[in-house]
Amino acid sequence: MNTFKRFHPVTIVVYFFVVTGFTMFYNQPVFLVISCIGALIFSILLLGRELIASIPFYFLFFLGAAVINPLFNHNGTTILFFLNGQVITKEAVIYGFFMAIMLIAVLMWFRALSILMSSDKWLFLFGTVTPRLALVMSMALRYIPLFRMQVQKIQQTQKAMGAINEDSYLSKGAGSLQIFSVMVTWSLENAIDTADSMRARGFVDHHKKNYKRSRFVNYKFRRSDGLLIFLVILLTGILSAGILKGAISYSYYPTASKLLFSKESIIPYAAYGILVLLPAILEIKERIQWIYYKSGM
Amino acid sequence: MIKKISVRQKKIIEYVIIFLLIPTIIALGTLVFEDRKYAFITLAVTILACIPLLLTFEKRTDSTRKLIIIAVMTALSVAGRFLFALVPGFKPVTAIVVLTAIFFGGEAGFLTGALSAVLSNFMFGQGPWTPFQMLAWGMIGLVAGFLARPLRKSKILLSLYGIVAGAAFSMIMDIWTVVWYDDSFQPALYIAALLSSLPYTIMYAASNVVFLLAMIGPIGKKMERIQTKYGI
Repeated sequence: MNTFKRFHPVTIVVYFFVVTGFTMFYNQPVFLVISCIGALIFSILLLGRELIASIPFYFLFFLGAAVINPLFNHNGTTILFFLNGQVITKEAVIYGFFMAIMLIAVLMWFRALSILMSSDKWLFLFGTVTPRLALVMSMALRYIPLFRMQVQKIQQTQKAMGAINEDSYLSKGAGSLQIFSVMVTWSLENAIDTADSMRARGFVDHHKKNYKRSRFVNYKFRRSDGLLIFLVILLTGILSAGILKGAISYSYYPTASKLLFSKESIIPYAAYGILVLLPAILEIKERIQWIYYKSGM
Repeated sequence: MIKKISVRQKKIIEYVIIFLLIPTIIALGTLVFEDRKYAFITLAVTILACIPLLLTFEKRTDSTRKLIIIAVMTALSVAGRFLFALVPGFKPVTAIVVLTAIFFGGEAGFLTGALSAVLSNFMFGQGPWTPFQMLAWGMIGLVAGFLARPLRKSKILLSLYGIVAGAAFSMIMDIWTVVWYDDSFQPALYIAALLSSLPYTIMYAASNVVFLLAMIGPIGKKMERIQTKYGI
């Protein structure tokens, strides 16, 4: 799934915000199913076999989420049965089912987003708006592995000195705390050194007038990025128009309405389907192109 | 371009966000996302609530040292999650956020809390829950900053704050769980969510108290020393 990864961070974020936004906040059944299928295809392309390991988790999560709603929500007019004197309605069961689909779809989309948007891409985005904050974040990100290494060093030293023992759970905890305390001293001193060193090298932290800090940017906004964003906006416009027209409106309560498939409703469904499948389409196009080029060599 | 925004313009942006954007988003959310308006509004307002505080940090002119200290405390709280990973729910994040707030001010506490949420989610997975964690941990830090003096003096108050912070974190997160799932705030469902997370909440509150009491002595001393030695 390298095609989508190569896009500019802004493009990736715009795409994901639109797709997850519709999934989270517009819970029309057909839309939810389309989004879930899209998320599944995306995940398969992105994760491959890794996805199999998380299927039991998704399945249990789905089951749990679907069951909760009818137990707590007694809206709806079609009574299925009574449980401990509580009404279980058909509408609540349907709603719970589709909410579970929504939750699973959102989880899968965000998992894909986490893979595509590594922390450096996020820092690039934050950096345009809040350079100071992005600096703090990138420093903290670098410190985390450093601290984990340092913790190991301290641990070994303390053990060798016989300063901590691991006889019981309690002494183990006390030992961890002691290591952490040493860690804090070391890192605070380290922080001051870093700060002084930065100042010595000309890092100006005050907001001087006309002071401009340059930064290293590794991302180019290409024509394909513009095209993709334009496509996303266009599709969003088409399906928003469809939603506002009421061609595909649906309500779960008080009685679950019937799904209408008319000529008018096909357009927003198709638009959403294309939107959700965009990364997969791009990837497949790229693979076909590759085969074509290879055969021509 | 974005880079040329002055301090004054940022202040204007802040006011626009607070007084115009939030009501507009609530109104738009009600119109467009009929069925899911509460989920949308909850998420939007949470994100916007974090923005003014993060922007304040941007225009502050305090020393480079404080900047690095925040980075270090954030990294410590994230790395601490791995050091104490043996016991589930036993995390030093809140304790570090509170200590940072007590010694370096509420704003530093807010940032340490909010950034800890973002950074640890780079490892545990980002999602719509990230802004809520940011706000919850951030607010725990901000309030601790307001209460810095009494918290510094009394260990009883400090442990009490640890318990309240642990409970508050679960309560804020469960609001989102309930609203996101059902797009309404059903007390029964909220109570059920709270009850199901109760063992975790208790563990969390207990670990807060343990960490705070154990750290305020040795680590508090170190922070004080850094403060007096380097004048932060």
